[in-house]
Amino acid sequence: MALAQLAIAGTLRVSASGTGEEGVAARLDAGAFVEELFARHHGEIYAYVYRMVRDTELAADLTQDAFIRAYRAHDSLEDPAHARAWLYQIAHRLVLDEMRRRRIVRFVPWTGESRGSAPSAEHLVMDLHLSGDLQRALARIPERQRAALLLAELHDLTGLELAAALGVSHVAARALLTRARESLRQALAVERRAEADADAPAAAERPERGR
Amino acid sequence: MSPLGRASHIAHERARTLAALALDEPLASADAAWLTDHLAGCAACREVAAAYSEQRLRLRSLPVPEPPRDLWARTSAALEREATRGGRPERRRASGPAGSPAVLGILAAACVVGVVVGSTLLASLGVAPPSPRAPGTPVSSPVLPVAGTPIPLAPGNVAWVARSNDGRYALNVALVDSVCPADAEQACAPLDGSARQVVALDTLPSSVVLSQQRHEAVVVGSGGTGGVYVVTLPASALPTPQASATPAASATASRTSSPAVATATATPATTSAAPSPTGSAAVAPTATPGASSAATASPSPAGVTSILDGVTVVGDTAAYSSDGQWFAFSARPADGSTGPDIYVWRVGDARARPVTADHASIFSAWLGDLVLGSSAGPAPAAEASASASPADGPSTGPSASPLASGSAARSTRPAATSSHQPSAASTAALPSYPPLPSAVSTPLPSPSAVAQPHSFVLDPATGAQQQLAGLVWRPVVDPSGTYVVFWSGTLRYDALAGWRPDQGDLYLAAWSSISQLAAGGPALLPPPTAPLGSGALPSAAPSGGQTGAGWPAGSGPFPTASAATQPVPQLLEPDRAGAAAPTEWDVRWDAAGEHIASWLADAVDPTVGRLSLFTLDRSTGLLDPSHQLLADAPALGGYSIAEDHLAWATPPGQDGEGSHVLVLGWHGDDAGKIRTLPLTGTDAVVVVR
Repeated sequence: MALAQLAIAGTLRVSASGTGEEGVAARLDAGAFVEELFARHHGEIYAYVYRMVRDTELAADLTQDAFIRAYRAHDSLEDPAHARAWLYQIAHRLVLDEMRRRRIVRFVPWTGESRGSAPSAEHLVMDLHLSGDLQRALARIPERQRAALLLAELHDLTGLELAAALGVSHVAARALLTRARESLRQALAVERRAEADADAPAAAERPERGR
Repeated sequence: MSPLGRASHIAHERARTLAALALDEPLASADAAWLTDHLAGCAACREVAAAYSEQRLRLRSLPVPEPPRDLWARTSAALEREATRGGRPERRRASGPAGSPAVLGILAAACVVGVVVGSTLLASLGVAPPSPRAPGTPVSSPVLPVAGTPIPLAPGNVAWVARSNDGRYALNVALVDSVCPADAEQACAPLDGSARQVVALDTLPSSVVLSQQRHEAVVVGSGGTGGVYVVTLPASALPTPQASATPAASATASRTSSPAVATATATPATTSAAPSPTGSAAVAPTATPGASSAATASPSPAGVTSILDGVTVVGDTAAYSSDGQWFAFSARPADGSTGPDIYVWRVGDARARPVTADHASIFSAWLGDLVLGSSAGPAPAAEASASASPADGPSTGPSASPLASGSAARSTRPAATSSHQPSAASTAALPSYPPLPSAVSTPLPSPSAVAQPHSFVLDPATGAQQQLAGLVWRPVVDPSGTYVVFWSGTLRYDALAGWRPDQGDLYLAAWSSISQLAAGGPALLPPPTAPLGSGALPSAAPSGGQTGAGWPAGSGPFPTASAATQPVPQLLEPDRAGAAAPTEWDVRWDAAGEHIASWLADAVDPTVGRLSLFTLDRSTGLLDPSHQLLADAPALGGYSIAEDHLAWATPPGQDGEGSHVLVLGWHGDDAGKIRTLPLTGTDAVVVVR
């Protein structure tokens, strides 16, 4: 671990704006740097992006994009200790931009449908059965609140890391998280009522999703 | 809402917030103890806290989505293209980690051992590539000061009114010259230590505004017959750090005679000249409804002068002009017989006088020494069905009424057409002031009538008005005249509160986007001082375009012609978009135009609300969320913002815990706080502006 960190730190000291031999070295380092970042973090970054956009294909595209941007901007990362939060920050902005562009609200309610290399159908059904109300409730709350909640609870970002990833100040991040918990509570209550009201139709619908 | 109901509403909300916060960080011991106490007696709050914990567990047990197996292949190919696109040499192996399981294995193992990014101070994070959707939004590090070091501020006064031991209400003034960062707040002694009581009042005012130029304050009484008073403050009693506190020589004639009579200086330790503790400023409602009370400048005891009575002051926007020579506010007759008008008082005058007569105008803010005001006009639907609609009551007046015919009136509001003044209060003593626009004696709008807002600039000295573009309500312009915050949408009439926002949002925009001159109107506004977009204001309206026809419903409040060349109007609080419009708000700029304080009233209890402090990137005209200094702090209405600090009062809790006065100060990128001890009792506290 210590060695790996040193290696990253080493790559970062070299500026990519150099010329000649130095520049080549820098770009080599940038490539190696992003490659290592990818190896370490692509799983969690993908998971975060997927949880926000709920589309495997789109999530893969955005994750790829995040690493490209990390490559382009690698020399803006001053302290390698912050690489993870920095990467989340890049991914988060891509997600928000994309959602704004596409006005992604269509994933409410989430049906588990997906294209490409999706998890198995059974997995999705289980997932939906166990957490459908939670997923729908999550989809209901404002996206920045959802992001704060996911990053804090599922990606273990805390305090200043969370603020950095969200691109907001510490106080704003804290307020966002507090609001998100209340929003989710209310959204879950709504989901529960809806579920109670429409139990029969929902039961009839479930086998459909398994196909 | 009853005081009890209010206190418990606040307490429950605090319990919710703390219960949520407790999941993310350890609570301060006092907060934790309070929460435990509160939960013990509040089943509903226990349920909420349990729901938070449960949803956390459920969130954490959500399945982890697996990335597609070809993700590395795709990414590395894209990186390849990225590298070669800029003429960069081939730099990577033909196969990446995905193609070399052994390499991936080693790296993955390294991950397992512990890819831990310390939660240490993120001194500086890099700038991500600018995204096309959020141009100019810099991504920079959250900035927190180094622990334990007080942050120096330009010494300034923070003042508040709170109940004192003798049961009266004392105006306390404290000198603030530093604040302490969040993790070391205890390094700053409570604000109380440096506070001194300057004046005692008999009743709690609804707001107090301190003059920056003279030793005086304007006190707005509370209740139906509150009235407006000018209180002379003892010159010696104020801590005066700033050189600018010298009295303005020109305008003090009427009050230099009794500089110290209003005192009741019960000063702890730091006693200055305290003439006599007996003289108190007896600011009590004079209970004389009807605006026709004598126009005498009835000087009541102890340096208190009533400048207007028989009225209820509307809103919390009352303010001195930037040169300190004028004071403006909105008021309606105490008997509620008409809606509000804008009143101004010139320092040295005996009385305040109205400068609008449509009974539907609100003072918003000062723009230098010009008044920024807003009026409610007929909504398009009401315009179409003229007399049928209750909303266009005002239009039954003479056609000179600014609201008489929608758009036409909006573009050329007559400055002065009649000498009739609706209120006798001001005329006799002030023959030299320009007459008002024609008075309209109209019935009040019916409840829930709908109207459109429009705003104007008014010269209090001449009465000349210039209309602003757009469906704009209560614009507040930054001190440099570059940016403006306003609400845009429709208004609904509320019998108690008057015209209130209905559907719409708060926006931040370039001032020049609404300050374009309407056709034929007088030119009051100077050209913009900042090189924004299209440059100077047109001296005459562009032909065609948006000036004549008003704004069709749904077309948005912004002139399209200039929008492209200016910072795009943005929502002040995007997270609130779509939420119900705030019934009341209070937006103010700091002196540099770099920070915007925004207080939004609570939907349930409008006496409390949430205060945020935004930072504006003046180079782009965009808010910089990474430098937001305050988010959603619970606050009573009425706060003060100065050059480098913001002061407000927290709502009182239950169990007799009183409010605090809190000061947030900033210096460069550092920010910190200082506060008073809890004030006694659950009475409201008024922070002096």
